[in-house]
Amino acid sequence: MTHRPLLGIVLSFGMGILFDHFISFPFLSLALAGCILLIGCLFSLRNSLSTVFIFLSFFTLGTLCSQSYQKLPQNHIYEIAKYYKRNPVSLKGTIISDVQKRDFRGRIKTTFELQVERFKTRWGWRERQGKILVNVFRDENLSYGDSIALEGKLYEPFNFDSETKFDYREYLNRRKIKLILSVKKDGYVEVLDQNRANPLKYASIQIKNRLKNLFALHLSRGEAGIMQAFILGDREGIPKHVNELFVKTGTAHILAISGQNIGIMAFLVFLILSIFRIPQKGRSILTMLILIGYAFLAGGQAPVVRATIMAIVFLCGFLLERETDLLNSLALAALILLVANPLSLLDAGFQLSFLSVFAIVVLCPKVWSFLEKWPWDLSRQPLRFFAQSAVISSVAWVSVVGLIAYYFQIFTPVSILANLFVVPCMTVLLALGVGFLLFGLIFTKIAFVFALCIKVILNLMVGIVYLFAQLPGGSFYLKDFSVDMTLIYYLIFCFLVFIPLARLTKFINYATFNRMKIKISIFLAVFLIFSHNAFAFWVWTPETNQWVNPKYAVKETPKLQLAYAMEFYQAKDYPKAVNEFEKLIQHYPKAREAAEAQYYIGITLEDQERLFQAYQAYQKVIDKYPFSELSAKVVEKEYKIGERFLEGEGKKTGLMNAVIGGGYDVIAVFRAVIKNAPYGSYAAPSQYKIGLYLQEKGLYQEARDEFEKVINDYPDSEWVKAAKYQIALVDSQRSTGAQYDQKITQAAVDEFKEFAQNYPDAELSEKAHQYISELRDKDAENNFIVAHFYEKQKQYDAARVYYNSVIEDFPGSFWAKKSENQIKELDSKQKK
Amino acid sequence: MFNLTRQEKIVLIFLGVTFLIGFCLHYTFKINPRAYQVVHLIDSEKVYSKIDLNKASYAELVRLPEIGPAIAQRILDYRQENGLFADLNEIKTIKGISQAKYQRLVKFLKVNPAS
Repeated sequence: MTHRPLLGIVLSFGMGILFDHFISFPFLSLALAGCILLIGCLFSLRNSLSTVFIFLSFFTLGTLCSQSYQKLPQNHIYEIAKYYKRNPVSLKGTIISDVQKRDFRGRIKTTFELQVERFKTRWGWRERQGKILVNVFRDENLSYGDSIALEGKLYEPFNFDSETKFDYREYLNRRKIKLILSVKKDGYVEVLDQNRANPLKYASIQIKNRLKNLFALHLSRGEAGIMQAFILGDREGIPKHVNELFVKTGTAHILAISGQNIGIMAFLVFLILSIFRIPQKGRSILTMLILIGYAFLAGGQAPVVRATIMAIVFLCGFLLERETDLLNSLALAALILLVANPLSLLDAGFQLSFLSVFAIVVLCPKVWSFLEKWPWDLSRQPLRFFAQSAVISSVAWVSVVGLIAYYFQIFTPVSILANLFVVPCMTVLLALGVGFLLFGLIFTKIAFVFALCIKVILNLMVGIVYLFAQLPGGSFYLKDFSVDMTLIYYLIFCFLVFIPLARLTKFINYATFNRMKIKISIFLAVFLIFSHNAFAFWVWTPETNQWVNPKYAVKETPKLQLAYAMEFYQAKDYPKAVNEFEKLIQHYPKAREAAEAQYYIGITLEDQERLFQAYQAYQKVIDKYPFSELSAKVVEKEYKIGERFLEGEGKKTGLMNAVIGGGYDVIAVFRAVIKNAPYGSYAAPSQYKIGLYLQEKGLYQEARDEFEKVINDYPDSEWVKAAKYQIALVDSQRSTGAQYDQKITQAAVDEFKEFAQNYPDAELSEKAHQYISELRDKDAENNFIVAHFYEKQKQYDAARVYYNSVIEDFPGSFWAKKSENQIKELDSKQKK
Repeated sequence: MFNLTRQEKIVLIFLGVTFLIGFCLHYTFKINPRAYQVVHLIDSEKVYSKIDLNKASYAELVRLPEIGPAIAQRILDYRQENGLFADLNEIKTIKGISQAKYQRLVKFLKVNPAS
């Protein structure tokens, strides 16, 4: 068996990344686990256990890598952006991508990525970092490397496509872009400095733009757009209707740069270099360098990098005269991409690219050996070529059909047939495209020959795709193809990969079938008896032209689904209402109604008196849809839940409290209110009420700290007065506790005095005076107790000092009179 | 001196065929501009997958370039309230579909009143 250590490593690493995606685990614990596992490896090098330790270490490393990649620095712009939503912000930064001009409702939109350097806060310019996407709604003359200042509105990316699983926000997040800045057509943009670019990247962008211009010069707009996608990996220019045709026929993969492109490119480069009589090793090294340059030019997309790494590994093997293993080089490519960006594992392009190549490498030889056993002669060339193409096309399709169904909600059986025609066209187009660019750059005048050939073949290919797209039953839109369905599909797929097809052939023969027919009949009978209640897995609905899974079916639009869920809510069928609201969120996560559904889940739970769960549901509105119009309502709802908790509602029973601990829901709720709207009208009262809650719990020092926060963080709030009063009260309560401290009592008295002085008209002032007299009384009593203690110890002089201090400091009080009596008694005692 | 490897021969044949076809096409398009229009599929309306406005589901409508969830919903509401579309022009009565948008949208739609 071929030795493939990298395959195991990349699988463990990838599993680690997935683990981090679904389960959050503290970074330090993971780092510690990683250290322990690596030490375990060292101590078990001589036995087989070390392999397990190594794979577990890579699993942990995958999780750590994912966590460290996603951790934002403290001064990241995202951390501050939420406080400026709906308000214009000023920024300074450097353009770090190619500047693109896109069509936007008949006008030009300038789009680029900006590395933020400075951000204008309420307190002036502050250093900030992070990458954002900028849309300037006019034709702005900017280029890569410009340092600019601009003003616009920041917002989180919207999700445009509510039908597929494509998540624009997640897509940008994987590129570390969390925010978009929108600059109006008359908005402020100023170039501060130029030439702050990376020279290599600048050169590649310049070459790319020159090649794009060359396509635009000789081809129509749509044709140029498709060729740019083929050769330069830039898909922006593909006409939407053409893209839709390729999606419907399952041939969209050819609109991206793939291994085939890299293979042809490597072949052409190798050939051209051989014409110059360069030695073989030199040719290999030069080809590698040119391929790296090409990958850079194509924007470093996953399929390009994957194919380039595989080609480099192959060429290295050629240099070192060692045979290379395709699966190992595929695993190396995956590992490099995942270390550079662990989130690319969740990218549809990454998954489709690696899975299809993996399946082709593993399955094609098996399928081919299976086919060779059949009676037809596949050794003749034209038949062999078509059979091989059909096998590769089918295997690639079977391997990705589950993912395509999940991500794009489409099932395209026509794909196998369409690919047989489209892939050869694409191969010719690639060769023509490379020739066109080479001739176009050097001998501009004869490039038209290539351009005309490209035009004819490209249009022919699109025509073929159009015909396939019209075939009835060629493609179906699937609805509700869920994750579990995808997993089941791939379990079956893996089963087929790991069970040799040859064994399967042996199994399917008449004798075996004859032996097993009784068992099969029993199985079928049992299956039929118990299947009467089962749902059809998918039901074809001609009205909607879709296959629908009834178990998970939702209404046709989010609006209808919301109305449907509301019917249950109004009928007070809360569990069903929650279920239907959840369905809406699951199936239309990007629809406007999704936020509303989440909000109604909160209301439903609140109606059921499940207050903490309601708070959690409300909080999801803010977490998942931070720019929703419902934010203000959610904050108000959360605040009211906090108040209800404070009033004693929703308390856990004694047993529950003992089992799940803590009654700190109140604090969590009020803290969330403060975090969600730190400058909102509910922030100060929430802060105040955290103090009240802690005070009620007898945690006086903690309560005092919270009240102080009200005074410091919200100095202009009406709650400051109450907070000051509560601080004095907390101090007085501390002073009356078991551990009496005169200093605290004095502080409490001073605080009450200050309060009464500052707010003489306040209702609480009268109470403050009352507390002052009570505290003084307490102080007097305490001094009296001390004096009495000394008297009992027969230290009369010390007792006299304390009695006198009570008479002097608290004249006219009950304790002063009592002290006078005690002094008289002392006098009489001493005379005796 | 004129010895060529197999790969070199393939490249030269490929270049020869390309030039031959290229010159022929150049000549044909010059003498017959209509031939150019026949080839010109991508930027024409010939390869648009038109959907029937009277049958289109919400999912199909939102896949169209000019239609978002709100307009898709309005089209469905309109169909429910007023019956099937008799003419494509009727879509202009729906809020959010201006003349300019209609012009951009019309190539993706068809109306079959019998449906």
